[in-house]
Amino acid sequence: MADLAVEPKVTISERKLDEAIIICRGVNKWFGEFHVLRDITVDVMKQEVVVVIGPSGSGKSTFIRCINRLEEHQQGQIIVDNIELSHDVRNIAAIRREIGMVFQQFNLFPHLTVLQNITLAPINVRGWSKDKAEAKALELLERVGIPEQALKYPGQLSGGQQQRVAIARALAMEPKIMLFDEPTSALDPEMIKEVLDVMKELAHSGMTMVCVTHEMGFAREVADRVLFFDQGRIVETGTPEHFFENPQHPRTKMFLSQIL
Amino acid sequence: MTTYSELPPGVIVNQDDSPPKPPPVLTTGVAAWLRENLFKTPFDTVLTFVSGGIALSVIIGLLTWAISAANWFVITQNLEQLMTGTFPRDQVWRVNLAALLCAFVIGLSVYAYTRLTRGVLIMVVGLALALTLLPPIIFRMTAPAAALLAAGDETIVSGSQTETPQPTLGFIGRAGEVITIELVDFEGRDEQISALAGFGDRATNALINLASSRLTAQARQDEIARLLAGDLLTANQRAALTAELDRLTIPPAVTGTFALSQNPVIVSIHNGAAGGLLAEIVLNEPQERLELTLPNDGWYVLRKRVDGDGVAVLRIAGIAPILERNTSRTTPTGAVRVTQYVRISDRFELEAPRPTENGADIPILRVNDAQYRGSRPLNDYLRLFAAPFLGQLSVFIVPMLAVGAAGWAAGWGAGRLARISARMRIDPRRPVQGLATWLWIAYFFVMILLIYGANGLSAWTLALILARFAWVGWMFYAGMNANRAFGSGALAGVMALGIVQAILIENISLDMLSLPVGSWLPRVISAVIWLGIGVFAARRGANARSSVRETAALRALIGAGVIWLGIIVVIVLAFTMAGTTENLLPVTDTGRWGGFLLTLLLTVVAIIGSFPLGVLLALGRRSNLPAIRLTCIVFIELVRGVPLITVLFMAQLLVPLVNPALAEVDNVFRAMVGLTLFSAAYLAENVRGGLQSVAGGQEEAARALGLTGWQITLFITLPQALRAVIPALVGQCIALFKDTSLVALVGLLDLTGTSRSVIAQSEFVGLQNEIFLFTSILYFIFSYIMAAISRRIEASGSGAARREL
Repeated sequence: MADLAVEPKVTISERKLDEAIIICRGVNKWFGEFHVLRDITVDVMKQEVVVVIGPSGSGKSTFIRCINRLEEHQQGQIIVDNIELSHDVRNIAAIRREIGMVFQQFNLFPHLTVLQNITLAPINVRGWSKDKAEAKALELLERVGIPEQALKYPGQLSGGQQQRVAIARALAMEPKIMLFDEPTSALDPEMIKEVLDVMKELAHSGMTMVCVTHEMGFAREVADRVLFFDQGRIVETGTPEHFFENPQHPRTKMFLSQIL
Repeated sequence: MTTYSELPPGVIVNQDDSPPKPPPVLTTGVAAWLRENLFKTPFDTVLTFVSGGIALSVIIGLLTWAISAANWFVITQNLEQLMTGTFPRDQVWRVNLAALLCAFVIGLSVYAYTRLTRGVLIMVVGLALALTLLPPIIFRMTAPAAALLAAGDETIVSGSQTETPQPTLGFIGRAGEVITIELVDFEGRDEQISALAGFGDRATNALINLASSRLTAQARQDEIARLLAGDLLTANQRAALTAELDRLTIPPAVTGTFALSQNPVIVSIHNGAAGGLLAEIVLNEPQERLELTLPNDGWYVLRKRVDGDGVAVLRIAGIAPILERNTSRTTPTGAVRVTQYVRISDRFELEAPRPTENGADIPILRVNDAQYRGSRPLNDYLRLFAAPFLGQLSVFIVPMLAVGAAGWAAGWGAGRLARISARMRIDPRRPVQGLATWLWIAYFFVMILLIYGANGLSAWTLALILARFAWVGWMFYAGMNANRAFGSGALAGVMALGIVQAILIENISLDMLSLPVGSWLPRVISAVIWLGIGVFAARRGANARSSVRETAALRALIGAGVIWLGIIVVIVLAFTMAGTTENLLPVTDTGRWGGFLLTLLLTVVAIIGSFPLGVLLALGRRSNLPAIRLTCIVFIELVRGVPLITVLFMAQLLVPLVNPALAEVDNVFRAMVGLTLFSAAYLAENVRGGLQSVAGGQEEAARALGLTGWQITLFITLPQALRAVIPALVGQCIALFKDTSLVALVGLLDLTGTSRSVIAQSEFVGLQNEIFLFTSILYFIFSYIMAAISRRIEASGSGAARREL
């Protein structure tokens, strides 16, 4: 388990949130004829925690996948860490190095041990020595609370442990931004907490995070801002307090009434 | 004692305290297994008995044939040829060395990848002991097979065959062997003749034939008489049988005609070379016998004549038929033709010339004439076939097992060393697994070098090559002990050594590729390749460890120089002292590769060649570039649409027509290319199946981590894809291994081809059953080993755990 007794380095109130790290301007995307993202314009500040919620098929996953260009947007601008996402392969590679991503289905590499899963990218992308990468990996495994599983294969771990390894794997690249794509949706209820605890700890440490999630408790507790997606649009944006207690848009109200 | 009187109503207390009982006999152990698996239902029972009966009758029939009828000389006499074909005899040590090295690496891999169970250990030790001990035990326990030789002056006419017993016979004996000669007692009955078992000379065989045909006729006559005495026959049948009876003439008893073994026989044994008389006896009675212990190895002459009329048959223990073969041998003065005489019972070879009498060669008992007659008893089977065959196997297999054990021990030692030097507690097998992989890669090249050879490979060149390998190894080690800054200064210095060696000193590549001396291109290529390898090794080393050391660079430079120079000096000195420094491994003529060696070489080269090609084709077929995709699809579908034999014929016949220059390429190499291309197409389809089975999220996750396309393929997709299709890949390897037998049809003498050529020799005509049974067993053993390895990989702990996700 993450050691929650340790004082977080940066508390949420101390953060300045004045420098945008992700800038989206009029982003549009179609799957064939289907207009999946419509004129998305949003900025994410450094150290900000943004939670994206919305009904399924509303484009929220597609949105965060566009941020590290797992999906290509067709119109508009996405600028991450002062680099614009374009067809330039070098830009994409540079951006992916700075963005970590955690998937709903973990997507760990089943043929590699936990340690190899975590060190693969630092060694081959960052060019770290094996020693350095392994030291970092062990440190991260300690941080996500499973240092004893380093030499096991993913298939031998529980879902919650696998997702924590996936988080450690993303963190090993020392990214500036972390994207979470429904990280707890494939987990059994009793394992959700252990993953959320890790994510909370991460948020408190000052990581810029964009999370697609259905965990409203998490959103309420950790998020600086909530984006509500519906039919490819950002329908409503606001602080968690505003969002959960005083929603304005009828679709937001309807969505919240259905899930709360 | 508690009283239960106060228990409320409805409460029952079980007072039974008896010990646990064993389960019913029929529900555990063997009985349960039999009941569950063989006799569960009446239908199962019937099936069990029917299939068991069929299996039993086949096995019994085969064993009976193998022991009492099969002529296994075709195997024992041709084993070397079946194994290595016509590989030059004075170069066979290279094949043996390659096999021993293979055993070493296998032993090391066994340590790295498996845990020796007691069962396997007992099996290996038992096999070694059995192979070592059984042949001498059998030789001690059994009597030599008998030779049956006729004596006398009468002419024996049997059918179209006319034979007269030979008065003299040359035979091969060894010092200390005991020759026993006695008269065969026929008791005046022909049945005794046809029941003879042993190597008969031509006259004895004629006698046996005569007796057999007489007995057959006699039996027919008796049968007809019995039929005619009954009343089951129609008039027509009766008439036909009567006519047959009239035609049937029963020859007089052979024993009577030739007065078999009824007169005394004078037998003497002389020294073949010196001609001195060693022993003489007059055999009057069947109980009398001559026993003679032979004084030395070499030729002997047996003289035998009947004192009076008639023919006698002698049963002689210690004389066996002789195989005469002509070989050529290279001597310092040139090639010499040598006639070798091989005693067939124990493969004792003699090159001394045959004894002569009055200027003519004394007849010998040739293999062709003296076939084993009669039903062979177990004694003769063990003595003639089992013991010599096991002896042949033990000469080869026992050293292999010993070297394998040494390899295992080396693996164990390396594991211990790694464990000591590692900073954390590790499984000692892990580093040995890496070592085993590298050894296998190195072994492939060493094997090719050993078997193919390299002209002009002097001790000097060998030293340079090994020094280069050591240099790369040192680069790796030096890299390990330096940090990445090491690359700047010291690396350049160490690399300079490589350039010096590759460009200024070497001429090997020129010799090997038969390029004109002074040509710069190969030297530059060599320099570039070796520099690449060196830099790669240093980088790998630097990635593996990164404790910074200031003096590492200087030390690396000095170390590289010392090692490089040291190896060259040591090797050149060693070979100079051994006396041969020039042309250590002359190139062998691939046309003389044959037998099982060729089968294995074809298989190994085709598997190793087709693996990268197949993987590339599979990747190409999934490529986004239409040109590449289309090329791959066309190649795969074309090759898959053609039978292998056609590919082989094309490689042998069509290719030279297309481009005459290609006719220069030898047949073996063209067959290898054909097999490789054929196998690659199938492998590509298997690998493609594996690639499709890898979940899409894998690639996505890898891309999100910033890995490039090649890295994703190499680290993520391919490993998983290959793991998924291991069974299919191994199945293909087995199929390929067996398919190599098709090269026999295009004129190559692989195991199958050699078998065919052996049974075409006059001595071994008609023995295809024996030889093809043997080759089938050989093919089976190796296929089964491959299948077993595949099962191991699939079931291996990590493999099973990895598949769960």
